[in-house]
Amino acid sequence: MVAGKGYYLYALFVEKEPQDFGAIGIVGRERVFTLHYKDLALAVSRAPLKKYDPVRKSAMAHQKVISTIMERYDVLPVSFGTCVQSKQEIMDIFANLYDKAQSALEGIRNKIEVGLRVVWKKEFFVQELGVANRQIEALKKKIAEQRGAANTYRQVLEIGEKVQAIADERRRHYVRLIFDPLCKMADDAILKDVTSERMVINATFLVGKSREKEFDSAVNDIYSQFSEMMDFKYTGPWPPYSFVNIKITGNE
Amino acid sequence: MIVVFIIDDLLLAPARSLMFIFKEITRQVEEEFYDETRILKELRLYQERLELSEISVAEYDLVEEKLMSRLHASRERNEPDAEEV
Repeated sequence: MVAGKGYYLYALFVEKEPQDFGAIGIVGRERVFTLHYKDLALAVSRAPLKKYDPVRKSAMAHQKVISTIMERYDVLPVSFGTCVQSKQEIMDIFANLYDKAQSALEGIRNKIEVGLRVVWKKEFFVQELGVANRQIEALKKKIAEQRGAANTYRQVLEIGEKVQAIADERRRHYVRLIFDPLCKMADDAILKDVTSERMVINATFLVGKSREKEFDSAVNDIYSQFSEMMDFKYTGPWPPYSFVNIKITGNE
Repeated sequence: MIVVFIIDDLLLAPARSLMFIFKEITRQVEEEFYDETRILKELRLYQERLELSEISVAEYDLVEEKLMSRLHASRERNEPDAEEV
């Protein structure tokens, strides 16, 4: 079955005049252009109406279009893979979201999002959890001497919990040293859950464009203090995905 | 005749209980395997690992291919008529 053609949505921003961002669409390099409602514009391209696979290459293509628009506007990004069938559906989205979008755009005016993930280097991770490691070594010896499976299982669980508690305590320590000072320079910040055992900090910051360089150099300064023990992954500027409480979907 | 059925039931009860347990485990494993949210979460984790250079692009591509196959199967299974709207 061949999917019908619809409109793939990228980003919402303030603009009254029609704009053309060139042939950079996510599918077949279709032209990215704007549709309008009052003083708002939605960047779209013609594309098959289907469920899009969130594969890395497509996600990057989606992001590239939004980055191009971001060079000229403050944008409310639309989630990857959002498409609708007709212009009328887009007008319905505009009408339903207009007030919320205006207020969200006001909140992010002249601001960007940056991401910071800090990860313990392997060798330092072992060192950092030294106390727990000594307990693990003691437990290993104990287990080797025992045969009771139930007891052993319980002990393994206990030591796992201890390791977790120690790692969390160390993370809180580094949050005070790394995240808190950066927080003070940002307009807003979110400390997200870590996604791997060696991850220390997983954060995003909303930063005024006028303070972007100052913020970058603060990150660099902190990195130079911790570079021996940790890797820093500092990314952006991104549209403020994490700080916008408005979700633009095809089913408004 | 009724006595024979009762004896059959009693004799087969342990096997039936085991079958029920196996079927239940299979059902739960399949539900998790085809859970779209879980698949997308797993994909995001691997994308993060790639960004942090914990895995190579080649390793990521292999995982992505497998997860996309699971995602397609999941969509087919959960909403057989909705792959293309």
